[in-house]
Amino acid sequence: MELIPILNAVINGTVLGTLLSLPILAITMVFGISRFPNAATGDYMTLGAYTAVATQAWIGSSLVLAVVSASVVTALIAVFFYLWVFRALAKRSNVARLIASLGVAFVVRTTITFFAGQDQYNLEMGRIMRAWNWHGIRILPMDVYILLTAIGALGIAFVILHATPLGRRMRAVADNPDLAAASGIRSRRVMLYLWLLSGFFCGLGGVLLAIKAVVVPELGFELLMPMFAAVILGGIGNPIGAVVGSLIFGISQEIATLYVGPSYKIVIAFLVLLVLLLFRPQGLFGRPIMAR
Amino acid sequence: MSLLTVRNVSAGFGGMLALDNVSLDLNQGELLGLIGTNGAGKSTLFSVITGYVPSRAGVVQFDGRDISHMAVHTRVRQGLARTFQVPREFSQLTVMANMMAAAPDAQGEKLLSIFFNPGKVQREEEQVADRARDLLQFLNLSRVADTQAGKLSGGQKKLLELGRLLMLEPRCIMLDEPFAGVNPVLIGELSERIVALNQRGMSVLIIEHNLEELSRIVPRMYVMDRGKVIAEGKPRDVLSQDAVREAYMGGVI
Amino acid sequence: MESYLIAISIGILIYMLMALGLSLHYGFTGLVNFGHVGFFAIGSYTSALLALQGVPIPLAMVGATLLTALAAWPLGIVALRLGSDYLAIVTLGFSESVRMMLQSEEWLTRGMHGLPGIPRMYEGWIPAAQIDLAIMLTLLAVNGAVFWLVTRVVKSPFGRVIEAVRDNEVAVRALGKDPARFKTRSLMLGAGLAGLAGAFQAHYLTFLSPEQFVPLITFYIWIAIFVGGANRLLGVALGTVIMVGFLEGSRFVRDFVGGISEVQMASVRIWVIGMALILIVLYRPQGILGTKAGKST
Repeated sequence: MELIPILNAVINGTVLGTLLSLPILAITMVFGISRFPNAATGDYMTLGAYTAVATQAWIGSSLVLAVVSASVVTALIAVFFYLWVFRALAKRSNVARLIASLGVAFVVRTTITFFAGQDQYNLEMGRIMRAWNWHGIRILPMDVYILLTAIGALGIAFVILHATPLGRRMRAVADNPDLAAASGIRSRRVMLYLWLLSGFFCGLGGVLLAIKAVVVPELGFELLMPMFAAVILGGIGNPIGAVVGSLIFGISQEIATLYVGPSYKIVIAFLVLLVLLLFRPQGLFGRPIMAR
Repeated sequence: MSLLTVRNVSAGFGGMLALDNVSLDLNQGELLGLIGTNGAGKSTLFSVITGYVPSRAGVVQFDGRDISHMAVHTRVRQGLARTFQVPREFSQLTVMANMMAAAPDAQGEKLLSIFFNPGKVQREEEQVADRARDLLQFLNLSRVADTQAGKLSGGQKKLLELGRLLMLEPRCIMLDEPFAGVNPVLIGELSERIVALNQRGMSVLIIEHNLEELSRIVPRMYVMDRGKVIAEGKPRDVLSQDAVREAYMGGVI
Repeated sequence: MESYLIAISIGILIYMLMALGLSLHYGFTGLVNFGHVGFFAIGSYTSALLALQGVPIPLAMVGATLLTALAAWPLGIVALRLGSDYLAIVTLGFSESVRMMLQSEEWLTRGMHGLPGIPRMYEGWIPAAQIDLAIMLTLLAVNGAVFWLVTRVVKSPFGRVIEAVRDNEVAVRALGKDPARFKTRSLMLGAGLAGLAGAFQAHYLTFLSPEQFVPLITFYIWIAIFVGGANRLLGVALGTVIMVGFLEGSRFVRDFVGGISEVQMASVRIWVIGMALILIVLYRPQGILGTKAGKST
């Protein structure tokens, strides 16, 4: 067993896991508070990626500007869909919200492809910087950029969630499904902030991903399954669980890919998910699930 | 003769104990009450007895058998059935269909029988329908037999839930706040039905907040507070005990 | 023109089989199955591979249907212990895993190159020009039979229990019945129907590739059952006709409107489907023929 490829896989997995922890955090908070898996998450990420590309094409080639606009635009779109669709479905079943989110996913993706087509796009990243190579262990400078940005965003998120009254309310509701059912707690403000944050993180995750990967319409939707698996791994509604789950998933997928090839990424995610649901459906940090 | 025995049962999550060393006996043919303030653990006790919530310690026995580790539906098949605080009707099915769905071990539940033994399935359906109609009459719900269950009033839904239960021909029924949300006129009817069932030999355990109505019909009751049993005996005696009055003064009745 | 209409009808009838299966899953049992196309794929490839090995087509198709139903069993065992949120994710993962495996296991399926030369139904038995008509008539008969079968199931005590599971699973448990048993059977029956549809697809198109089995197909079927009314068989039929009619009709819109490319039309098509999902859930969740219930979606 060669050490170098494994170390590189760990590094890559850490970068991916960290940047994906942003949309995964979004999923877990929405899942915890609104009690449905948001199928539009992937396409919100795609929106972020395409917004960044568009910003660079039309406004300026600054990467920072692209990242900011991606996050802000996606946040606004997320709030829009909350106000139009999800708010009206607040008293309906989880399944209704799930199916509606699927519709939102399609609408977002096809609006993008109508204008951008099925072509591939890339983000401009200024001077192409070579990877730092230390005895075969490679670290890309852009990876460092991604890590710092993602960690910074996570830091802000955790400050909001743990130090502000609004954030504490969100966490309390996300963690306790019975509390979530008592609609008194879910005020308009909590929901608006929830979706603002979710959208922002999905968009940010999308553009960070675009730095590493080619931008295609399926960018986000492809990742839905693994992301949901990571959410369940960490425990639904648990922010720390989301980050931990994302890292574990990212790193283990990269290592597994060394042995079974990239097509099997989804299969592995699926199998892990199945095993989880069989033996520990509440994930690492969640509460045991009870029927009433 | 104890039909349902609960011994030293504790249950809860993390540091929180919803049930703390609770013991309870329901005798054969008895009509027993269980009261307590909100959060006292009454519904949790029901859930532990019926298997919806696991216990950390203690034993639940029914008819001499240890049911502590049986699945919910297996316990029901031993003869122990319960209703829920918030009615759980099959909303899109008619009242009749709700009742018939409860029939245990219907041949027609097997896919192969539907196609290879349709005659038997049909005969059974007719028998089940007859029983259902009788029970609906007993519960005064015949008028709404073909109405969708979701459209019934709260009180009617509770009666329906009782009816569904009775289709199982259980040995013992556990009623979780049968009078809650029922309009006062219907409460009397419901009460009468419960007493009538008991007189026919059904063992009954009732959780209730409506102390007036409950004291009228049960000869014996347990009182719970904060996860523990704090009193047991005749309603008049129990309700005059200091510990019980204190618990109720402090809590919400 | 005639051959075009026959082709559309075949498409409708194949989708209708799938839709009946999904209706059993969701409309009647409340199972949110986002991986239906996975069963379609298993049925298709199984029948194709069996036929390529020399198994007579009718036998291959029966075998494919049974195998697909069996494949649903382990999925049921695992996924049905938990609520619908998880089921949706798991079933999506299932169908995507199936597609990935079809893509990767080239020794079996020729992967992305696709599987050509699948024996055509009625080849050698009926003059070539009439084969499509024969396939359509066969599908019509099969759909009729399946309608009858599903109606019998739905009106039976079994049907009553699965509807009860849909409406209130906890209460079903409280009646001494194990919901998992019923859900698994419903899943297997619906999966078998999708497998049968897949078998027809294989011996009609005579060419299969993993791209034919993307999640989008599952969601086309979802629209079909939603539009018509998920728990009304007639509604399911109506919804399928409307959905395929829309998909086909949208091809012609381009000729009238002009100015947009085929690729853009594809986007518009799916945009409409997404909007339809949103609007139906918001304003008419029971579909065209469904009735408003006491407590539904």
